[in-house]
Amino acid sequence: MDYSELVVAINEEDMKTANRLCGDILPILKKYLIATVGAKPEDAEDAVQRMFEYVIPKIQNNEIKSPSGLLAYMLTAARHSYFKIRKEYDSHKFEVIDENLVAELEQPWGLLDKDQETILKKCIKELKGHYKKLIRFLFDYPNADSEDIAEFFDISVSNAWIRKHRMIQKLNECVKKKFK
Amino acid sequence: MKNKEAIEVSKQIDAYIRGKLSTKEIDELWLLFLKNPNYYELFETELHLRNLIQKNRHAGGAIIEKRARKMRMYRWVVAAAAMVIVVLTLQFYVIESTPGLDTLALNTISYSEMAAGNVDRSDEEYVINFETEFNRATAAAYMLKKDESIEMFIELKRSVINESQRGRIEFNLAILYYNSSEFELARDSFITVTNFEELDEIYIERAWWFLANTYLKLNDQENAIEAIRMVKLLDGNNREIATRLLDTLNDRGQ
Repeated sequence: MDYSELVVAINEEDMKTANRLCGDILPILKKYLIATVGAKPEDAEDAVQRMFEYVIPKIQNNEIKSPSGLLAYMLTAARHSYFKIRKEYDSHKFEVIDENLVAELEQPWGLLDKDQETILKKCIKELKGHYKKLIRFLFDYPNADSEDIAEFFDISVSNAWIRKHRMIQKLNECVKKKFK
Repeated sequence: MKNKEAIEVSKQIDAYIRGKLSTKEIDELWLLFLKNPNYYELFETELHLRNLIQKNRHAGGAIIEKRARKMRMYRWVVAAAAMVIVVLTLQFYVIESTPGLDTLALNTISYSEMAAGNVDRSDEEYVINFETEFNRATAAAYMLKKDESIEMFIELKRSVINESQRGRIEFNLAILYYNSSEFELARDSFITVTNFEELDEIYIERAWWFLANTYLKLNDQENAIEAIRMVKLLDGNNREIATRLLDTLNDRGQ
């Protein structure tokens, strides 16, 4: 989905559709800020809200020249919005916040959730057949990559990727089911 | 989701988690997540899986880091090393007969220590519903359905109304984790409980006492002693037993 639908909805003042589309991407935009710039969840929420307040009038005024590039624009705008908030909060501490400094923090571990981890552990126990063998292998050899998987199970590297991908899909479906 | 595209995204996710993507590539991947939230879900699952694998590694669950293709070739070396470790460990126990710290900790925590639901006739219906569900989750623990009970409490977390409820859920979850030998999770939950200001003091004192036991299970003597001192300071039901445990720990240290 390229979200040109959002441009249409806003221009046609179909706020129900616009709200639904914004609501769909809000959680991922929040997590983007948590994962890439180390934002606290409340700051991330604030930044995304402000980004919408900035972007929506631009759409209404036909300032978005490429609706297909809207999502990329929103990512950048959310990031800038976050830095703006930090500058406001920390103005008494720093005169300028160097946005490049944050690049070192680009690790997604801030997204970890204890409850999700507990559920995932249960789902791991429910894996069967060669997915069970694969997960055991990954726990035994934490740094193993797809080449190692291929070598160990005597399969091609592309099949190793497929097997790992399907295992993750199975785990994901199980987590979703248990969270419902 | 097209299969070929999904595998490509899977490779990108793997590289991202391993810290091998540039800032630009990371943004491109997030753009894909926005366009297709299913990819984001896969990323989140893989991230949690990778974290579990790494934690297991730190806990000593996996000690071999060589590439798999070398593993089979050197399997006999690993076996021999394992034998040496076993022999050395046995010698250590012959010379040092002091039992491990974990043997001083409670084997399990009685479910009678768990927090119960507080239902009052004057409560609003949504409060009564919450507390009823809370009691159902507690009852599942009593019936030794630990996993079910954990799932019910986690689900209940979503509908909490106040901090006291959140604290009681965390307290019961911590006990369930302890009894499931998930001591790291138990430690984190007990620590969370000790920080709840709106929770009844009786739970705070118990949380410190169980936290001390959790640290013992994790062989963390320094933090266990700190937690025991807190129990003594709070001067509740566990003061006496905590004092005896502190004496034992001090004797071991001499």
